[in-house]
Amino acid sequence: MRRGLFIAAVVLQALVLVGWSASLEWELASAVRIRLEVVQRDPRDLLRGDYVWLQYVIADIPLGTIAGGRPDYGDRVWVTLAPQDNVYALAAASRAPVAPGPGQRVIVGRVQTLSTTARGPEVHIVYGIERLYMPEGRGVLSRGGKFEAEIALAAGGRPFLTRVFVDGRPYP
Amino acid sequence: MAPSFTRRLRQETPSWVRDGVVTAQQAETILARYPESGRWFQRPIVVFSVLGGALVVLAVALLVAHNWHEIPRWAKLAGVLTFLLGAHAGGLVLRARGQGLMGEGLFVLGGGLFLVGIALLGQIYNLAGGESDAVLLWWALLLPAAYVLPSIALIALGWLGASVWFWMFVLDRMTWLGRDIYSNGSLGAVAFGAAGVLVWALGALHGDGEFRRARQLLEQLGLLTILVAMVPLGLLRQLGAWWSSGEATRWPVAVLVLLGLAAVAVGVASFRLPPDRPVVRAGPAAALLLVLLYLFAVTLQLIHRAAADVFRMLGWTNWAILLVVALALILYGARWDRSAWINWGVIWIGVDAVARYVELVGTMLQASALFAATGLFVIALGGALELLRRRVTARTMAPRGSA
Repeated sequence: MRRGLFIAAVVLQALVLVGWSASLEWELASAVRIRLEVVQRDPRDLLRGDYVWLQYVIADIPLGTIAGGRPDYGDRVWVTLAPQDNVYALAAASRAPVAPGPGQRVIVGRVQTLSTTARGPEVHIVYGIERLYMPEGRGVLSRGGKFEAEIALAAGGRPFLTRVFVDGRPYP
Repeated sequence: MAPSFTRRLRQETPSWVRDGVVTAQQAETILARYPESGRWFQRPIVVFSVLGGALVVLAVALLVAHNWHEIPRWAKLAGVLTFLLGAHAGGLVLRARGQGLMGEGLFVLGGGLFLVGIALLGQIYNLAGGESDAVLLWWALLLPAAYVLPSIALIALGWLGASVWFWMFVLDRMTWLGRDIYSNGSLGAVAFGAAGVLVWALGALHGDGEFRRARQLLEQLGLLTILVAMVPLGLLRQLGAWWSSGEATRWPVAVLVLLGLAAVAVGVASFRLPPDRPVVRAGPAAALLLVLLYLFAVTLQLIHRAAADVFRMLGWTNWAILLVVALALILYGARWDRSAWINWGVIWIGVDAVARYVELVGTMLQASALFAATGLFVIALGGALELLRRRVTARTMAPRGSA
């Protein structure tokens, strides 16, 4: 009886991993691909290995542009993106789900920090796509050059980081 | 059989024979009935198998972290799953062959590989953020497997994961609890204090049966956490304006929910304490409810940004509660033969004394009076305990007819 329950519990663990992976594959397969401009990169995760840390231009949003008032830490924000010079750039942001206009896309992130900069009060949003895991020893990009990230956007606005481009060429 | 019991038996039986309570032959029969097995974690096979399992987990984790892009995603996942299922299957086989202690190492390996599998998915799909969610998934699915088996090593690993998760959850300002704590840093100590009480109660719920070791582990983890949280709260006034730092005075709902949860858990846990008179049995729960009440009071004062005098009073209350709970731990530990409680009670008193010494520098006469009064009280308590012990021993030694 107990042996059976234990086997069931372990099989459940395996099924969760397989099911999770399958759901991610499903979302990726149906996602549209866009490119975002990257302004910063950089370390090592003990479990997942070397990675490039990416910070997106659309991560820092002026507080005034967010419809629906001041968000709190951890709140979700729906960010509307519009094409601009081969990449997608910030068009609008809202605390509630929004329908994008023609050619626009919506990406969902969460508020990490609220700060005041020279440009006024800003909200820093994280999208869950800030790390690109690389083979060992290749987790540092050379400085200089133009960095862009290819993002697969699922229907609900959930983004997946698929690859990075340096001066238009895929890296690594 | 508890190692302390068998050890005690070996110490006591010579005096039983000397006093004519049992014959030498009877003493040998009794000793043969309870062979000395030593503490489970002192057995080399347990230490080496668990350590070996942990090292293999680290090896696989580093292998995954090396990150071969050439290997297809599904092949990587299938590889980790094969190791995971193989480790657990090996553990079951060893257990069935009567080599359960060696099997523990394989179960630890399997449990660790589940975390590696979660990390692998994060790597494959470049998932960033929500690290605490990944650890939550790990321990929440690991513990049911650990308890149905049951495997003490896997249970310990699961609760270790839960502790790590709680840290990550509190430190992440994007979680519902972290958000409260970032609004006022002192609430972090309140949250840890409440979590400590909750862990102690969860430990007590394990009872004295099959999961006795899990109870011991969790009770001690809980007592350590409470102590670590209570000491800085007692020094709030000394830390200057730090206690009132933070941007908001809104209700920290998550912290209050955690306090409520801990109170309910303590209430339920009191029913799992050793059999005794109801009033006596309610004692440990009452002592820990006092801690929760204090934490609630601190939360209220932090919200209302109370005056420094209020925090001075709360500091004294903190001192008194630490002492009361420490004494309760010593008394109940002696009554129910739980030596870990006694040890923790003594540690609590020691730490409390050092904290108060630091706190009271500047008002040395008051501090001197306080230390003298407490010291005399503790000495008197020690004397009373010794008298009680002698009386119980005399009653046990006396012939039945003379009572």
